[in-house]
Amino acid sequence: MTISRKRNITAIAIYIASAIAASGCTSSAPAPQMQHYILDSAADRLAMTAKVQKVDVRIASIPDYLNTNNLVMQTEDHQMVLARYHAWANRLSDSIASIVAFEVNEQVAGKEWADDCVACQDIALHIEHFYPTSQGDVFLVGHFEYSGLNKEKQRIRFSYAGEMEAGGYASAVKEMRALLLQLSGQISESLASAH
Amino acid sequence: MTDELSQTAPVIKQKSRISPIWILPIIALIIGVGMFYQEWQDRGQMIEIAFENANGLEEKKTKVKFKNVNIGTLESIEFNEQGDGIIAKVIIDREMTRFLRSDSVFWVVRPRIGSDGVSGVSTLLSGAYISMEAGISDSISLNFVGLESPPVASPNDEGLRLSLISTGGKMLRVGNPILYRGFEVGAVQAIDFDIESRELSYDIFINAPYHNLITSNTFFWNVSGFGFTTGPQGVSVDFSSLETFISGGVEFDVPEDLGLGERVTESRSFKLYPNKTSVTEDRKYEYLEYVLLVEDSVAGLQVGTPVEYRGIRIGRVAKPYLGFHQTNQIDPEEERIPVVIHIEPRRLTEESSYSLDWFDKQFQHWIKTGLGANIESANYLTGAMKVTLDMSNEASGNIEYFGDYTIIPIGDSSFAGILEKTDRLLAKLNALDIESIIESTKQTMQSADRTLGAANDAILSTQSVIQSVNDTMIDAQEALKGISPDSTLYKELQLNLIQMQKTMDDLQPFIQRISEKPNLLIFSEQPQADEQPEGKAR
Repeated sequence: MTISRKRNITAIAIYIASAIAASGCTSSAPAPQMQHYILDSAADRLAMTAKVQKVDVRIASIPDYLNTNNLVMQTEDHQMVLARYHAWANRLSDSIASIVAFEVNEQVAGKEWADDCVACQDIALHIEHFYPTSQGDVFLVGHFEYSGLNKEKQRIRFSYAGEMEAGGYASAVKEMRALLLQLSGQISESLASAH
Repeated sequence: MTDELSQTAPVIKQKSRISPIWILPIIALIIGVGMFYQEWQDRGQMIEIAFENANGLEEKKTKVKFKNVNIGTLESIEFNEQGDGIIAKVIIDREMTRFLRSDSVFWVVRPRIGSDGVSGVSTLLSGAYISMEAGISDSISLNFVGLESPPVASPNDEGLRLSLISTGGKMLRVGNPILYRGFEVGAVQAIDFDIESRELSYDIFINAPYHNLITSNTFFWNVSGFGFTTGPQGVSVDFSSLETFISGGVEFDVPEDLGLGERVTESRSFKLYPNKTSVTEDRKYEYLEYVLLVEDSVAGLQVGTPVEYRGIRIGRVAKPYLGFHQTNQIDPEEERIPVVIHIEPRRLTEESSYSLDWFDKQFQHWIKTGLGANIESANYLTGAMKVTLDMSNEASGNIEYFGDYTIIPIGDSSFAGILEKTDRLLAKLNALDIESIIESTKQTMQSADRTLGAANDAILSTQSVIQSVNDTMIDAQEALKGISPDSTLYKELQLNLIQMQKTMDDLQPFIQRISEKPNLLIFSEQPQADEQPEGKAR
């Protein structure tokens, strides 16, 4: 190896090292702004109604991919993608329980079973699937349990599908809430028929 | 004819006395005189420097330098009258003659390889030269005695010149460092041996501002090489530094038990101790003189052997044995060996309120009340001995003298004392009533049996206590059941657990990404917007 070739290699090595260092130092493109979503946006309604809670809803089980603040989406090849810049403002399981409990209590307002929730009707909600897809579909699948007339445990399956009107996670959240309202209606009917 | 003659008479013209032909020689003479004067002006001042030899010196070539500036040239070299040295005749530039003070020093700079390193390497190519250090005296001199080695300090250096008197120990050399706690603060300047006093005198120079460290209580000791001494304290190796190990040196300090003393501002002499230990051991203290009359051997005792009182050094052995003549004069019948010891109270306190007389009276009181001296082995490995004092004797109430010496009695723990103790022990054993002891032992055993019975009762009692503790544990379990789901503690615990679970859930994607791409911790990733679900047109 001649001296000139050695010098060339040294120069290239220094250039590469400088480029790496420069790339580390230079600021990259600005990161997208973080978006937070709240599933239950009816706080004003919550304050005006449902003075006495008669139905208590608890999330008995929920998929692991929903135990995170990040929103998720299923792609065509059945992959779940966690969003980096779209997150829930509240814990999703708490929001689901809150929405369903509120709606069910609203719909069964005419029937008071208890003064408070120490002895109220208990709904155990098992969420199996709850996500939007990259094609704009939203699914809510699972089952709920409650005690029937003879104190027998009733188990009701549910499966809802919706379509997003527009693209984006904001629209997906809106559709997810709509599916939860459908579920609340089914629970209310089940409770009404049971008593 | 006459007219013709008169008409043809030569006209005599007055010629110049100096022919023009002399103009050039005169001008040449004037220029020559001018050049001679100029040469005389430039010639400078000739001085004479006496050296032992002309090693490295060359006439007309060797330069004289002051602060590395040429100030003169060696003109010629001659032998001195005795023929045991040379006189270097040097011409110093005229404007530099103001530096020729009577205390200016000259030495030849040539390559030197010594214990303190290699110097004068540059003269390998340039040749040796005579270096000068200007003095500070007011008088000008033209005759000097050159130094055979570079001076440690120039005459105008600030510091303190001292003289160290050594009666032995390792030899130092000119240039050896003077250290203060390992830090070089000066050097040995000159060495002189006085045949009359048989003492070696070292002239040392302490650089400013370290000369302020020299006080009246400063002690100097030799740290040349490494010392290997065995004494009562065992084997000790004294190794100051690599430099002093190779070339030697002197260290100084003020002993911890002494005050700093007064600052020394003028040249004076100090004693140079052979090592640090000897500073403590051989220091002169005021002392009280006592004698021990030893029946056993005094082998192992030396001048300087420590005298201790319960482990505290309070003196030294002055004479391991008093001379036969002196002993015979005092008491011809005395068979014991008189050992003279010095008790040095100043080792214990510097407080002037405790005078020697006070200590003398105190020792006399202690002697009356049982002070005894023993000769013990200080080091079984080296066989060194020491004298120990303790209050092991029985109070006698009186003091005995050996000549002018006060006697400190030999203690009971000496060999003679041990024999006496053994005799007393045997006598006591002989006087013991064995039968009564056996009877007493029987009674003791019976008593012990009763004690064991009591201990058994105590064990049973302990078992009941354990049962009680068991019951308490059951109660505690019941109490714990009281933490119901409605209690504040339960709710707080549940809240904390939920919060912890939420934090863990939040961290999970981050941890997963880091595990996939650990370099994300250092290098940022190019941010990309999330892929979002598409809407379905209705």
